[in-house]
Amino acid sequence: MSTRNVLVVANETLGGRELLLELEQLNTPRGSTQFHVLVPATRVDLSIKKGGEVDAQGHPIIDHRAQDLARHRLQAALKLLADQGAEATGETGPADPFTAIARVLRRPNVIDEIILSTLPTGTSRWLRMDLPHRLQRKFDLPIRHIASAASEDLAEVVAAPLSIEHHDLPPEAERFDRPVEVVLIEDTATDAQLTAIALERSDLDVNLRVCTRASEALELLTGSDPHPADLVLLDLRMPEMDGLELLERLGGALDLDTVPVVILTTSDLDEDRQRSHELGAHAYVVKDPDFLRFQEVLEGIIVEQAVTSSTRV
Amino acid sequence: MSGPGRRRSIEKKLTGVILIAALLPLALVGLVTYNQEQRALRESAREQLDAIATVQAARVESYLFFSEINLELVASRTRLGQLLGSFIAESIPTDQALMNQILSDARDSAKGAILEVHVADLDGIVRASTDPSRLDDDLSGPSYFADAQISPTLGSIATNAAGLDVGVHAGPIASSGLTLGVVVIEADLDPLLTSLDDPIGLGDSEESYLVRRDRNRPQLVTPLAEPDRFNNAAPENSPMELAMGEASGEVIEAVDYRGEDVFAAIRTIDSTGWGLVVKVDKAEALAPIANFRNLLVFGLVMAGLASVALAHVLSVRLTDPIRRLIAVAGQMSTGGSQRARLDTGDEIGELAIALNRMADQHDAALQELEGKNDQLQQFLYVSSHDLKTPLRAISSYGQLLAADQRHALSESGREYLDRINENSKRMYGLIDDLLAYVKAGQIEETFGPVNLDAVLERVRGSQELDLRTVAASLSISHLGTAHGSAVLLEEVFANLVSNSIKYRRPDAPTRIGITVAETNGDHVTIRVEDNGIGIPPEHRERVFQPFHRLHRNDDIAGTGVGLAICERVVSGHGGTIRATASNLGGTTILVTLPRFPPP
Repeated sequence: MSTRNVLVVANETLGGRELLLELEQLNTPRGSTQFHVLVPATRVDLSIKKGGEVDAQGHPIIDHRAQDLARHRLQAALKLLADQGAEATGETGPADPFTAIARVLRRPNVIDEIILSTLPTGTSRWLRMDLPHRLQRKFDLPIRHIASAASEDLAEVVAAPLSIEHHDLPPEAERFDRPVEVVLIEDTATDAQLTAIALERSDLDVNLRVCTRASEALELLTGSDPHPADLVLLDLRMPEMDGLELLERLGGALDLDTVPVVILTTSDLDEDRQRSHELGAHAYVVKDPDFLRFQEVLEGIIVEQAVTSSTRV
Repeated sequence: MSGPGRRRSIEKKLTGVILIAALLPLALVGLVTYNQEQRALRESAREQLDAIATVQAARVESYLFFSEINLELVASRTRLGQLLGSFIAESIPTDQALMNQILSDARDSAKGAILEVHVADLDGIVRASTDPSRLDDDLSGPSYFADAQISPTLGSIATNAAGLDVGVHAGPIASSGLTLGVVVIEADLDPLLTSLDDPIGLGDSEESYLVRRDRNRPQLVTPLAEPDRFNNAAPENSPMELAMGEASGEVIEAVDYRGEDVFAAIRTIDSTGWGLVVKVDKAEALAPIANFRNLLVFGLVMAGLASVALAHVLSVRLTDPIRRLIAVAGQMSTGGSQRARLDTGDEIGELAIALNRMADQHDAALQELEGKNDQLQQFLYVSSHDLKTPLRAISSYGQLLAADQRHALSESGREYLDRINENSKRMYGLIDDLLAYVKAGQIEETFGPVNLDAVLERVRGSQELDLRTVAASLSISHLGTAHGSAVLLEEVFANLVSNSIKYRRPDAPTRIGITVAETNGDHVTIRVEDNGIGIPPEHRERVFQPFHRLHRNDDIAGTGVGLAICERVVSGHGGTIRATASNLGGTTILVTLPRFPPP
């Protein structure tokens, strides 16, 4: 009987009750599953700027606390899995979970399924990024999402530190061949400015065009150019034409796989989220009142374009 | 009450009404006709009896008349008187053979009406007879003998040696004005009996007979049709008795010697004082009316059955549309959009139209209400969006200012900025909670059995980190099953546990207990109690209002929507929630929910 290779992506919920139960079930009968645990080093202090920036000495600035925490959690999780009698390997990854997963999948190994464990809706930063849906759209793999309680303090579990192999993480930002072409469709000037500021602060190579009206966006995006942008950021609540209607029209005129549309909205309604996904939106992002978290999500989405451009067939 | 039950009740009423309507006139007419028929039959029986009695009486009279003539013919023979006189005187040797010869001649001249003739002297000794064997017999015994010395008298009926019924008729024989003896004729009764037995046509039970008085008791003159049922003591007021009394000439209803009800005509035969009875059984005389009665009963039964059948058919036709109306109305009441399609063209059709109109109006009103509700909800979402947009800008720019320009601000400037950021975040949270509160009342979850123990296990899981952080103990006893939505109830109990943690007493280990407070009939009450800071009595009702917080300051996080959401969810389940003091010193929240299965 062949073993299944399952990629477990988690950070705060590692060692959480629901996740452990799920993994034990997956590994029944014992030894039928090979786990690979990936812990993206989710940033603890969002005010530290992204990797890629270098300090005065020219060394990349690394969020060491986040990496320590990720390593610590990974060690504990591998110990718990070993106690369960499961075969497990693991690694830590970049802060952006999408980038981290993409890196693992790019390697010549066979992953049969991804298990993504997050905190429940409302508290999870990964869900705020619409991560499950984005993974689903990008990778042709079964993805199971588990909402789990935060794990208890793992301090006692790793009383005696295990030796796990880890290497210094390379700078997190992917290399772009050219600036990422982003079109922002947003009727509120302040919101447009905030998005621009977030992109600017991310130090990513982005070329941003802003449309304040839906008609303007339609004209720009459905012209003769088959690839008018690398990414479209779309607000839902707009006067003239609703964002969903515009999305529907864009879907008719563009290949939404090559020109992904990400919904940026204040609406947290399930109907809006569901409808957006149905109409082919790549991700549904609720505008966070916390600017730094907003910036983090936005960065992840931009970086994704660079990460996947090389994996895209 | 079920539908078929109601239908039966209408059928019962209809059956009753139709039965009465059909049977009452029929029964009345039948009864009247029956009475008239019976009276007519009775009258005709009486008249016939009367006529027959008259005829029979005349026959008896004429028979007796001729018998007396025969007697007188014998007695008046002068030669016979002379011979008897000398014979009695014994003075002259009498030629007894001559006397016998005279008697035989007399008998023969009666042409069979007379069987034997005897002549007795005043002492009753037979001196001459057509039957030589009877010579010297003593005839003075029977009661008629004394009377016969004075005038012709009838004796009893007897059977003679030849076995024939004979009637005795005796009268005086005189010579020269002196009574010398008695002539006794034994007459042939057969003609009389035959004529009495001759049926006149009233029926099989018709019977005629003669009685006479003997020491005040009736004695039969002619034999009865059923003599063995005659016990010699005729019942009081029987025709026999009455025939010899003053009722002569009447037609009576009485009980005869057999104990049967009869119509009887009675006559007194004047010449003898005999009584004549002509009677017929009532049952036979009135037989036609009995047939009529049977026919009437049969008719009534058939009419009754027909009424029941008619009532059933009518009630089915009547209640079928009504039942369809009931079914449609039932569907309407549960929100169905069906309408009654009944074009019966009568009052039920009108009722269906009225019902449809009512349902239309109801639907329209409901739609209007739903529309308004939708509008209100829409308004809430839109305005929350409109509120959030500038708020997010304030919050974001505040954060940017704090992150990028912090060094440019004075100490107090930084403090002000922190306040701005804190409060804008808080307000954002308030708007989200407001939306959550509105949604809590609108989520349409499918209700079903909810295993409360499983729900509380999940709550323990979701709250575990917080419980651990503050070293709180949470004890949960067996709670059973409620009827409702597991998702919503989990939210309720998570909120309550979270509150107990939030409003804990800083100086004591936090204890939270969840138990069943009461199970009564169809509801179960869950008690969630803690040893926290508690809720003052005057606030215990208001804590369930949205945005009502006891702790205005910022030392405890929250917007004051949690308990309000709990209240909305619990009342959406048809339950109640209230706060009381706790035995543990803090707060007790009592949540009453419908049980599953509903008893």
